[in-house]
Amino acid sequence: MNSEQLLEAIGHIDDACLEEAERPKAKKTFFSLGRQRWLRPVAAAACVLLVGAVAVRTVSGARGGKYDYSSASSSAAVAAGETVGGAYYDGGTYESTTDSAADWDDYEYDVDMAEAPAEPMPAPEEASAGTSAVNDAKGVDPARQTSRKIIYTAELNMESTDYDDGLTRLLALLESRGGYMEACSEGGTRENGNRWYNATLRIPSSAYSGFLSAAGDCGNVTWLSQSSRDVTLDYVDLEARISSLKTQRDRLDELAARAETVEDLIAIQQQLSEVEYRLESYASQLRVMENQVSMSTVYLDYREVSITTPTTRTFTQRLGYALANGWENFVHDVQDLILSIGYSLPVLVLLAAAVIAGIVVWKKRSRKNK
Amino acid sequence: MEDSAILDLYFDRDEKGLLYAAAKYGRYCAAIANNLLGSAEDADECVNDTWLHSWQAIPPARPGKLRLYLGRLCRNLAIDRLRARGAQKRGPAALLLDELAECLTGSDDPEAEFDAAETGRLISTFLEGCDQTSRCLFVRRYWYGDSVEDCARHCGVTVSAAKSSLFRTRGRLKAQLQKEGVPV
Repeated sequence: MNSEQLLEAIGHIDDACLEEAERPKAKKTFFSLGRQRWLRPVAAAACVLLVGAVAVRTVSGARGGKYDYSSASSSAAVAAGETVGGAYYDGGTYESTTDSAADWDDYEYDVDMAEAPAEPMPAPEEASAGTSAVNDAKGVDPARQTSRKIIYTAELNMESTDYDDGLTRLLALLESRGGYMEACSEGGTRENGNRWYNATLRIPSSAYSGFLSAAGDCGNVTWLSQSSRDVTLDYVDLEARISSLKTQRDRLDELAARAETVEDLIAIQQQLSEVEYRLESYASQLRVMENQVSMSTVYLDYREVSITTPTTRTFTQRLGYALANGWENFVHDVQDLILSIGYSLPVLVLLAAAVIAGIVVWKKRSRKNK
Repeated sequence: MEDSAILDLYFDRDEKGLLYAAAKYGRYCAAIANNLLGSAEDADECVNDTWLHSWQAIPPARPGKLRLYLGRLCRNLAIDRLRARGAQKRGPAALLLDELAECLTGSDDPEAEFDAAETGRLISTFLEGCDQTSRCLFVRRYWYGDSVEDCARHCGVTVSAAKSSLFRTRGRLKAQLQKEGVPV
């Protein structure tokens, strides 16, 4: 058999096969784009661009953009409740050993140990009672509280529609209370309205509660977490060690003064240097502890938003907030998409030119072949 | 006009039957002839021969599907013309025949008995075992003589997919024909 005979034999295949082959399979649908196959790569490129733009938007949003605290953490949900510094909370305030944020205004701490007079070492019962005394802050004996060495730390998340003004007022408030900014970082852009400011603030413990209360005037507080650590025992232990070492040092000094041989003097000096070293080490630890006790730490996260988190939690208001925020996000995304296309326009023009040229060449070739 | 009405005219020896058949299936036959011969002039002649042969064959023949009957006639006449042209002037069919040569072993025995109808039946059976897309591509390519691009578009696949499908189908057909004892 040769190929012509095979071609002839193929002519005898069933009518059913022929009829089936006559029915076109490539139906023109929205998704298949019919015969205009060149539209597929163009559509695919457009999809990739769209997905890329949304991804970029999402990533940039996660880095420094809008962030919905109410959805990020259930405990951060802001709703009608107790007022702290102008903002409302329900369970938004996390307390470890301190009392609720609403009670901060009711008392002032005076734990500045740098100025505190030296006191005798408290009894263990007294020390252990210290924490509960802080917890029951209302009605606590200030004299007893003064003896406590407590390190206060807070995490404060805030947002504001007037970012510049709010942040400036907050930093001014910090300065007026005798605090300072230990470290900070900031990002975002004014154009996108997604600026943020992260900082570690140090503030005298005496002004700690006042600062947190007044911070609410500088923006919308969406999250406040406070913790305290009672280091009284550690502090007293360090003081006792230092006192003991000082006594040792004095005794060694006396011995050195009375030493009769050089060998004795050398041995005493060796012991003395060791004592001095330990004394310095403990003194250093004590200074750090004193600093932490006297200066409380506030980790601040301040963000620029276009819509503040609502302070009430009625369904209508929550729905309104969700719709407004959703629309805001949508508008941002669309704007970013348009901007992304604008940025990549030169590449798109080149690509389009290449595609058009390819189509023209392809059509010419197919016409030639026909 | 319905096929049955056209056939009635044929049976009545009314030449209007030819006119109606030409009007209804002229382009269809011309496309098949043109695909195989690659020349509009030859295709026209081939189509005219088709009407003549159909006039001679009907009656007594009464085809169930007139379109396919005329198409087969036209295709066979086109193959006859190809044979008459010789190997040098085959036009677009040369590529088709080269591809079909892949289904053959090359050990052509002139004395071997060739039964086109029987081989066609075997090929039909083979195609029934293939998937629909492969079958469609094979028929469009080797019955209708469409280009690979047109086959791919018609069957809704890419050109490269069509090429690879046709290649695999040819390989399987070769194996099947050998298995059935057809002298390929």
